[in-house]
Amino acid sequence: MSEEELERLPEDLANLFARESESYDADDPLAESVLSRVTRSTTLRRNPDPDPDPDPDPDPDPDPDPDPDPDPDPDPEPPKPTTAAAAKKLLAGSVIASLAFGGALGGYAGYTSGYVAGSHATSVDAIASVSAAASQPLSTGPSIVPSGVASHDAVPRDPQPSALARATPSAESNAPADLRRERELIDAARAALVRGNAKEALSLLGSHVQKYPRGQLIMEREALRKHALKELARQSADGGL
Amino acid sequence: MTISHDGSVAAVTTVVEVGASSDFETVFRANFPFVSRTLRRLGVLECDLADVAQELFITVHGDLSAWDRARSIKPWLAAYCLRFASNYRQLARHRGAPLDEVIGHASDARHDDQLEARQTVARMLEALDFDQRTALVLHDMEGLTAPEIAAITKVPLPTVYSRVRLAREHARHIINKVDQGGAR
Repeated sequence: MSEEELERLPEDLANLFARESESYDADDPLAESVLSRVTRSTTLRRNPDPDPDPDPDPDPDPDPDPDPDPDPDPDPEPPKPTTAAAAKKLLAGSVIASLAFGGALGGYAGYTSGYVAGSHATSVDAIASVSAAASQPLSTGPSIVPSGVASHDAVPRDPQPSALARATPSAESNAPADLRRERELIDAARAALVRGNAKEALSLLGSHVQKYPRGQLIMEREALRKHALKELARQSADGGL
Repeated sequence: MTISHDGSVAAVTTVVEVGASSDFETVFRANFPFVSRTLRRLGVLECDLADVAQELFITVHGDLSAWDRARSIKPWLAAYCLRFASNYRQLARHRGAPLDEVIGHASDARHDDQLEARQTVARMLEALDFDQRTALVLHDMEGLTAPEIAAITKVPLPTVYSRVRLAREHARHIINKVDQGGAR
């Protein structure tokens, strides 16, 4: 069978698709901000925080600009927000992204009632199964990456320092160091969930429970846990487990 | 490998030959438009696009050494787009999202007819089965070959042809309905 067996794309569809393609700007405005976030994350992965101690000491770093990016080149996009408005926007984005899975949550009240009334029993069951599975190696679902392309699951899964968390150091300079570390854990769990790795997400959320049982991001943690459990249950159902 | 492209899309994504040191940024800059466009077409909402693209490129950054440089990078990246879009869709938040959220403000559409085309295509893609949607996007909109798509999706080649044919039929049907609705 050859490509010729497929008829040529009809002209009207070809024209429509061409116009649709032209609607995308070759200089996508998102590109610089995403590159900045990816660069920051990957730089941090290579140069992890020299102070991994979770002890909630006062932040020993008096430097109000802890940006680890050594790149001295002026970036057309500020490498990190320095205004309260920008920090607030990123913080809001982090919260929204953390809540962005499994169903629309209409604020804390909606989340709470939905969680308690709708899925508590399921969550308890799922937590039990997750606990049992937590010590097992991470299973890999069917990969769509063709042979010759490294599976994502083959990549070391260091808990990813959150770009969003790292992008707001100035805004967080007055917050306890714990809050930054809490957010790193939460964002790493969110990232794992985006990648479809619910087990890793639950593991990270479990670490958050242990380190910050009365933390400031409990609501985010529980919302993420709910979605991670749903995702794990779905994956288990798909896998016939 | 040279990909035969169909339409103007090919000009946007460059198949890059990169050196050792600045690999990632070169790959990123040359291919971000392709990746962001493909994620959108596969159903990632505008409001989540930056987050999904960030996670995708972090993974690509880690995997870059696995890219076979004798081959085009476009199918290699398409596999990541498909996997991240598929995972994203399974999280289900976007289901039933209004079209405005699907296409965003399309502020980069420079002309009304381009915006209209994007809206029409977005409606059409949202109505397609995901497998057909993938086949149509990668084959007819991004110019990947059927064998490349078969490798990415891990289905037999005839299945890819079948999906493309069915997707085109459904696309035409949906577009006709949209046109008729708009004409009233």
